[in-house]
Amino acid sequence: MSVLTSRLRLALPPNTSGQDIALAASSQDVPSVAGRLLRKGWFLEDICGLDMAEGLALLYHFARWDRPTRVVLRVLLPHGGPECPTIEHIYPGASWLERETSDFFGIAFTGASNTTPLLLAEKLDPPPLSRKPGHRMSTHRLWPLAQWVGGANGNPLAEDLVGDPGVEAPAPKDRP
Amino acid sequence: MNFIPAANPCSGLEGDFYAQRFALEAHEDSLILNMGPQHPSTHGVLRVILEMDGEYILRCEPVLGYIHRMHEAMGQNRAYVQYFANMGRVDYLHALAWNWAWAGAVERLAGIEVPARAQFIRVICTELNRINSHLLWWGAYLLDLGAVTPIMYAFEDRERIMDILQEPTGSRLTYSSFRFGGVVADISSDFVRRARALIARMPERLAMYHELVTGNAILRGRLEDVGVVDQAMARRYGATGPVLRGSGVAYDVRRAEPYGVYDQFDFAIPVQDAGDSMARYQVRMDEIETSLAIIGQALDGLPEGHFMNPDAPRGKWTPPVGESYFAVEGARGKIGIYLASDGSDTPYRVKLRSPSLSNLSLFPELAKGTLLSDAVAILGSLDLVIPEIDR
Amino acid sequence: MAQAHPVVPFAHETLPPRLDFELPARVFDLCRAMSLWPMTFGLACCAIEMMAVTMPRFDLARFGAEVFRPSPRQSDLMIVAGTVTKKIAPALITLYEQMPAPKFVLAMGNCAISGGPFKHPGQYAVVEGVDRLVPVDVYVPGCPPRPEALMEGIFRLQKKIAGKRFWPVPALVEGT
Repeated sequence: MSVLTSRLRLALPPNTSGQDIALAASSQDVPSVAGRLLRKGWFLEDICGLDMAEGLALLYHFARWDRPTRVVLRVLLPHGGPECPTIEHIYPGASWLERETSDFFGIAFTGASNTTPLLLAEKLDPPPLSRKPGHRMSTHRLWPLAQWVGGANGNPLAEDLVGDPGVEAPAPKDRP
Repeated sequence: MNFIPAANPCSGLEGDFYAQRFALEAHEDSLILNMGPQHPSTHGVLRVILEMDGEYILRCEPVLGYIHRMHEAMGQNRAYVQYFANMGRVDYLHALAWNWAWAGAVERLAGIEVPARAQFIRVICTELNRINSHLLWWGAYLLDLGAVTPIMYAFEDRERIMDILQEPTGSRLTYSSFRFGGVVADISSDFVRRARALIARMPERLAMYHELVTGNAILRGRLEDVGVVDQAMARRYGATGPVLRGSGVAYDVRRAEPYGVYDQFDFAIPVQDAGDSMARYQVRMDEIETSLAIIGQALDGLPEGHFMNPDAPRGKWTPPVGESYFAVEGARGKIGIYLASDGSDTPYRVKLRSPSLSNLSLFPELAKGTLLSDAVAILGSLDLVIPEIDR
Repeated sequence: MAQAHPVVPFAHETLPPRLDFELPARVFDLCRAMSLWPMTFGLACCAIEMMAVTMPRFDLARFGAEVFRPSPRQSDLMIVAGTVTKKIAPALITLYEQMPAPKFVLAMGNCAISGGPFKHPGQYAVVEGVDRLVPVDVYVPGCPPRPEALMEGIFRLQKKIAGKRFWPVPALVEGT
């Protein structure tokens, strides 16, 4: 588990975002992070795709029943052939959310049992919510570098999620 | 015509693409049955493909998208204030909750203040809308189960509430009367008087509904122990709203993540433990009473002041760059809007989190092994609005 | 899923009337107009106002259109209440074809007339008006139209069928 937590990057978004903690992971770590969150009692609110200049961002929003908190898990996928492992074996509700995101952005969720379009009558090319290359926003504008703190930094919610008090802050070049 | 529709789905006995795909894993001697998309009991254009062994459902798969109207794509090329019209149509039964979610997301992002009177007006109108939504759910649910009369009574009460709501909103159904920083019109003393008259009248109407319907032996037989959702299942599927509160979890966004002035009101969250359709039924009936209590307290405490922040932006404007997430308790569950702005006059991304989608996603697991008539009872108890699922 | 042949209603296969004399035909037309059997084809928000028109406040049953039938085989009026998407278009055409003649279509609401609020460049899912699929007899504008407007639409249809309007025109309409 400490290998995973050292690969997770942490951000503290501003209050205006309605999100308390942002975790950034690579796509192969998404199932283990989702499994960890389910064990800790989080439920999956939604899966949102976002077409950015540096890649296709996938946002997983998690919330709890007992505390007013929201965690967002951000994954950045390459534009050509975006793929992410499915979490439908952990959160069965994710199956439809992934199919919907796949309809709108063309992301392939590997290991998904059902990949037929959920909302669209037929697969559209280019996917409806994707943007043309010149019209994409940079992730640095939406998630400025100043928000990224690397480790848990004493934040109790972050400590609970990341779990390993000794996580080092990653070097600046590793930040998304 | 500028498009070619797919082939007639009844052209052959093998069915269309979805039915053929579903039939690949069919058992021997089972019947593949289509429920919908045109069906009196699916509350909209929902299609459920069922594999039946006699009257029992072996497996089912909902097929969505028959009312997909691309709200999220429209969000990317509409000015911020134009999107209120879309919000009225996503879930037309609780349109003001979606209005509030959109107004809240943008107000949170741009730091727009809402005056106290506007907050109270929002609460009163949204709770009236919630009562309307639950009344329609109740009438339509009983219509599905075979009782044709209660919907007539429910609609009579709905008309009275719509008469009251017409004044501040200007509409009967697809309200789009919230704006950033307040609401579009003030409420008059006539509104207050009529709302108080409604609060006085509703308890005897609800008592009549309970006496006529809730204790009915046939209703109890059809709803008790049907479609039991346990808490672990609700967590895995992200179920919220009465579906979750019927399983014993007291999670209500008005209490968990208070927005507006809900933290100033004293109201109990109705919760039932059984997790079956009867529990969800009871939760919604109790929620009507909770809403009446909130409206009464809001009318008592209604402050003077602006119904709209005079410094709020109007027309086409540009918010700051950033993202925000705002959640609201709708009649069906937790409504969420994620908004990403790139500083231009149209949003960069609007994601609509639909409670009905998460609630319906547990239907295939719930309906396994049940009778077909129980499946109708379960679908009605989930209180779905299909345009909210398809967006 | 979408195949390359268009589907059109088989209007040319309608049988001629059994009694082709004027007076019985007018009597039959009057009977048809005063006992329309609508089919429940509520797609979206307009369906709620269609339900409201059958309820005690507005009560469409007074004007004959009381029996809403879910089956097209038993109905003669299809009230298209809501947005028609490309995915449901084949089902709509099938239902129209299954209705026995003489049959009528009432386009209720702006979405059924022209695509309504969902008509804009670049949209991929909505059929801009049900008259692109089936012939429409009466258009009732509104978003959603008030129940009184739907009743007026039924009256216009009755006038179209029977040749005469039997119900008084409200004073406000006469003056404008």
